[in-house]
Amino acid sequence: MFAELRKNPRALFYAVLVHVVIVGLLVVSLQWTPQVDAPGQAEPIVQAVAVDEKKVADERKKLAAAEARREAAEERKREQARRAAAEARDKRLAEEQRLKELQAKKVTEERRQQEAERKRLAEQKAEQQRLERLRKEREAEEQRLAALEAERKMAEERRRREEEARRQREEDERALQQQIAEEQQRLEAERQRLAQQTIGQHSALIRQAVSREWLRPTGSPNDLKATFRVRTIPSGDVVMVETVKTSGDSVFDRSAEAAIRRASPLPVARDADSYEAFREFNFEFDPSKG
Amino acid sequence: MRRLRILVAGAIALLHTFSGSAQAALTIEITQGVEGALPIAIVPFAWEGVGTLPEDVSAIVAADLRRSGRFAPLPESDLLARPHEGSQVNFRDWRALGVNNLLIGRVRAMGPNTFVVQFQLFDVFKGAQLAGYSIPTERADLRRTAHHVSDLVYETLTGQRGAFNTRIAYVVALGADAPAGTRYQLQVADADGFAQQTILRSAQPLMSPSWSPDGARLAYVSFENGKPEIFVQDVASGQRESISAYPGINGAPAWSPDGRSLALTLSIKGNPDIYVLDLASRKLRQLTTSFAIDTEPAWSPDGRRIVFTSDRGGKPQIYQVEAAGGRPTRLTFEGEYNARAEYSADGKSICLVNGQGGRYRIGVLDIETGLLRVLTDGVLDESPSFAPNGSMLLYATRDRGRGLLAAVSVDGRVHQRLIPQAGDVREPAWSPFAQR
Repeated sequence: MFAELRKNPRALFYAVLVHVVIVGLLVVSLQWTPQVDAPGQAEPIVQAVAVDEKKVADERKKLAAAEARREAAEERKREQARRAAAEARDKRLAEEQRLKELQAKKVTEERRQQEAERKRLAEQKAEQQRLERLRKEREAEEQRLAALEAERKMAEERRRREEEARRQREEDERALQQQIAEEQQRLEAERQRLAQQTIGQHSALIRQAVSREWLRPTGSPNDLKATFRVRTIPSGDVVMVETVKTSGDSVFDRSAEAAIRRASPLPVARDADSYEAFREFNFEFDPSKG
Repeated sequence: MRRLRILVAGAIALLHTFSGSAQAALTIEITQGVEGALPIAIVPFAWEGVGTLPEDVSAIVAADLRRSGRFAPLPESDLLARPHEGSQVNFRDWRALGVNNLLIGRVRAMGPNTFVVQFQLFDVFKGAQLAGYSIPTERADLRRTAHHVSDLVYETLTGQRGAFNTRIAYVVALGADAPAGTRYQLQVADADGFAQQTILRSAQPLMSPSWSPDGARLAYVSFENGKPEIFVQDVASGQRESISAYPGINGAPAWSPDGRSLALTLSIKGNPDIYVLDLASRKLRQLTTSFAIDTEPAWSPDGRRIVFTSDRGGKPQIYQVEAAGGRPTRLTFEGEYNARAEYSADGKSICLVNGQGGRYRIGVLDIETGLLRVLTDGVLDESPSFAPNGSMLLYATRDRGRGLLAAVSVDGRVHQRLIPQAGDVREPAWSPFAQR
């Protein structure tokens, strides 16, 4: 029960409220009950009782006296009664007036109450309508909010999906790029390998070409050795020959340099990658290894 | 992503850099060349004088260089241009002709008999002048001056001293079928065979001329007194004296490199042996002692060894002995006949006459390896004689029963007969270098 109440304090509140209202109403209605005294019912009721003669004579006398007294008393009483009746009539009249007034007042009050009730009902109805409206408005608002929320959620969801898609795209892109990079590296390595191969082949061709043109000086010692740096253009034409290390024998050096120049244009590699190796390279003339 | 790309690009660039530097280190080794003559263009020298040029200097130079076997002068008809000054030379043209070098020059007459020979030698591929000289000369010396030019060109381009401006001596037998009988002459000529002059005439045989190391004198064998006798004669003055007239054989004189002694063949003891004669004291020292024939001695350039021909093994072969004396060692084993040896300028090889299968040809033997290279293709080639620079050999060959002078480059590639002399030419001897 408490748990229930705690769970729903409003119920408790309403219950209390209902009791208070009922008690309130009771109090009001009690106050509204008219306090009327019933006229003529104020005389005490005489009780008839049987008695002896003397006693009756005495009693008669006594009764006469008593009668007289009683007459007098009666008279007084009647007077009193008349006065009382008058008073009562007045009182009644006043009371009636008062009642009338009360009635009128009551009617007025009733009317007022009715009015009030009507008004209250009307107000209640209006309130209900207002509440209803409010409720509807709230509902509408809630719906709107719900719609907004839904929309927000959808937007959120959309954004999330987009984000997800974007991330996925980026992921894919990254993977692709990595793949491309790896492929490029592989290609580069392959290219280099091929270039090296080409360089080797053309080095051999150049060696042949220059050897064919090298008129070795007769009688020069076999242990002479000279190194030259050459620069070529892509056609293979030698544009520069520079002595890097002289043999110390000008004739030997000249014969070597002439061989290089006579062999020009050298059979350098034609593809740009491999050619690079032949843009500038060295010749070592070393007949001792021959 | 971009960063990754940049990273990758950077890595690739880095790879390039590395490979670039690796490529920069590319070195092509040339270990073998070809034996061949150096192509050279010799433009006929301009003649700046009256009348005709007394000697075609550039033609003499071209012939000299060609004869050496070391050069292949471009035929005159192939010349694209005929510049006479460096400023007129377009190296590109000459490169296109494939010549390594270009020689241009002029002969200017300064007086009736005085001239100046000017020349410039270029490296065509480098586009640079290698040598340039202006040599004053006289009419009588024009040929010699031309040979001098050859020497300068040769030395510039080969690094070895030229031997064109040297002389040869030889014996000519004339009139073998004349009624008066054969007459003999000792002649001297330029190394190319031109400008010969007779320095001795004799009705009796003349043999074995040998140059003194200074090139001023000749020793030779003359039979003018009815028996072999060795004379030494001053080439220029003609003054001569007999220095060896021992009983029996006096033959095959050979000057020691210091010029103080002659090695020769004497048979004082009945059997021909090698002796060394001190020219100042005229004292004899016997170098070889054998029961066989020892003859034809020759000194090594350092004067410490002597080679000679001996048949102590049954057939004539070459032996070597210390000049101070000692036990000879045999050098030749190839062929049934090896004779007439002479050391090369570096002393590492000897030239000789090699007889195999009845043919006598000129060969060069590497003393250390024993490898014999036969250079000539005659039937009866004889008397080989090294040029003083060792680049060529002069020898006598026979054509239709007549002796001729011929030259062969020491690598055997270039053979040339010298201009035919009158008569039967024998026993040529190449002079030492002219005194510088």
